[in-house]
Amino acid sequence: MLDFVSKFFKLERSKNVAKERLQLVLIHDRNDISPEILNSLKVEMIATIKKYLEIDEAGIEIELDRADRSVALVANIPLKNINRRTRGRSKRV
Amino acid sequence: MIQLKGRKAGLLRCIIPSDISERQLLDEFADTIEKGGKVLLGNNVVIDMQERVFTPSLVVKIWKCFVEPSGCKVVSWYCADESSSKCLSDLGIKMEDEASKVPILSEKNSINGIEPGIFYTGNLRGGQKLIHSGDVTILGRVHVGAEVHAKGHVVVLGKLSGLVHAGCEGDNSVSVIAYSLESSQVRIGTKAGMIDKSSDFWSRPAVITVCKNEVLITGWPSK
Amino acid sequence: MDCRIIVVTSGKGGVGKTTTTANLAASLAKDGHKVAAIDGDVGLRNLDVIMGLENRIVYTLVDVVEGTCRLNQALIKDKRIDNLFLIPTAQSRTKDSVSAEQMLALCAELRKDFDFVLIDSPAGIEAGFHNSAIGADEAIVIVTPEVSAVRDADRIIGLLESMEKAPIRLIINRIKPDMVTRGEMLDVQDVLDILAVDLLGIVPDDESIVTSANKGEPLVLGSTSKAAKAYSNIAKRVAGEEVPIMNLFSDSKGFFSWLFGKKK
Repeated sequence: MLDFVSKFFKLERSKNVAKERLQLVLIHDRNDISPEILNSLKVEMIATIKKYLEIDEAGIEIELDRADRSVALVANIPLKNINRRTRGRSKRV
Repeated sequence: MIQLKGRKAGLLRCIIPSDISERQLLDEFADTIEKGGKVLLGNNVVIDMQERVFTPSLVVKIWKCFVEPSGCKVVSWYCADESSSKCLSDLGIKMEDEASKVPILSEKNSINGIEPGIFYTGNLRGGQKLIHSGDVTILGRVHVGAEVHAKGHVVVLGKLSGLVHAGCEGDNSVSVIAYSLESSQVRIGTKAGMIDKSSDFWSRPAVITVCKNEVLITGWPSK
Repeated sequence: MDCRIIVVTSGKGGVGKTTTTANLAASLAKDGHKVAAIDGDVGLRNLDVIMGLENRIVYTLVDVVEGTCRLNQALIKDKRIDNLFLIPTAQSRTKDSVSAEQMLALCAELRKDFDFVLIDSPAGIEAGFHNSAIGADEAIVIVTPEVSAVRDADRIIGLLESMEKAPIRLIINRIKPDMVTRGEMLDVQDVLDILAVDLLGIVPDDESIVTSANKGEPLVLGSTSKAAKAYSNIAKRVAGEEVPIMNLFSDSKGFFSWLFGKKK
């Protein structure tokens, strides 16, 4: 009986591991962005942001951050003189 | 029972067994036309009388009961019985043997048509095809799904499970020799022979030839 | 030792190419050889999950051949087994992304650093198969004792022969000894009679294959199952050791003593 129970739990565990791993793999697969796409995303983002802000293009970092359970698009965009263009306006950026 | 067999290039073979009476035969014609009417209409047919001994009057009956109502076109006749065959031939009717043999003889005379035999060592596997205009000897096996097409004889010194077509341009005088015959079909010239596992020759050394217009399988001579 | 590049293929899908590649690679590495496993099935990435290395992929086979990264950036080192490396394939590309020339160049580069390179080929006989086999010296053909798998294996062996791979050896996978005993499954000899090819090994149908794939742990990492033993034996044979073929059928009571050697 004990044997049966432990066997049952063991199988159950590997099944759960499989499910968890699959969910993770599929999240990654669905978000699989090739370096090319990432590059054009970067170019377009810069173009858009440049319309409103002055940015340090050389310092831009964009990457997909793969944590254990999720994928995040992380963009690090250093700004230059944020106040110059917005001077005199009441709206905050 | 009269049989209609399909052959390549839209040629049908109407095989009339020699063991049925003339009366039966005429009834069977009506039956055949009813069942296979559409197949026969406008198609080329070889009438194969097998071993039957007969007179020109039967030819007239066949014309009346079969050829005319079915709308088929008879390209040639075949009779294994010599006197009957001569009788038809004398009437000016084209006999199959003459029809198929003449071009082959002339081809054999022209040496260009046939290339020297080739010797293939190794197994021919599923999906592989060996085509050669001459004789082929295979030291190996021919697996299921493999094909050998040779203008001349084919010798397989191994298990033959795939398809062999010897005399693939219509030469019925060639033979296929296999060390172990395990193929359900062997083709020689214009003929195809079917073999099944219950045959005495299955999985044994065999010689396959065409004799009296039918595919004949014999064992290898024992000494 | 000279490097040996081996393609693992089958023709038919689902007979266990990827599982075999993963376990042979792991077993060979555990025996001290330096091994690279390449997932040759571009667009249908699987070897990484079977080996349990899916979370560590940054660059892929396609990145290497296109020059996006260097070869050693794409080689994922297995932290559990020394000397075991994986080159994963791209999931977001198609089979056309890698050409025969690129594959040959990659194989030539790997040859400098490894004892064994195992290439997991895609199912089928199209360009994907051709490209994964082109750089290989030898081939392992996986077959299950089923008519469709045997027929496809014959076709594949023919293609490998025409590509002049040698030796071409067979692994018969998923044998169910009880079914064979009942005469309801082709046995090893039947398959060998039909395919006329050398036998590299046999692997019984075993639950441990599923659980190990679930967990992403190759069987050599501790499993004591019959399949684990089978793969370890096969790996030794690949490396040139003489190990007798497992005996899946022993006494009439239905207990299996799986090895000839066990009875000594």
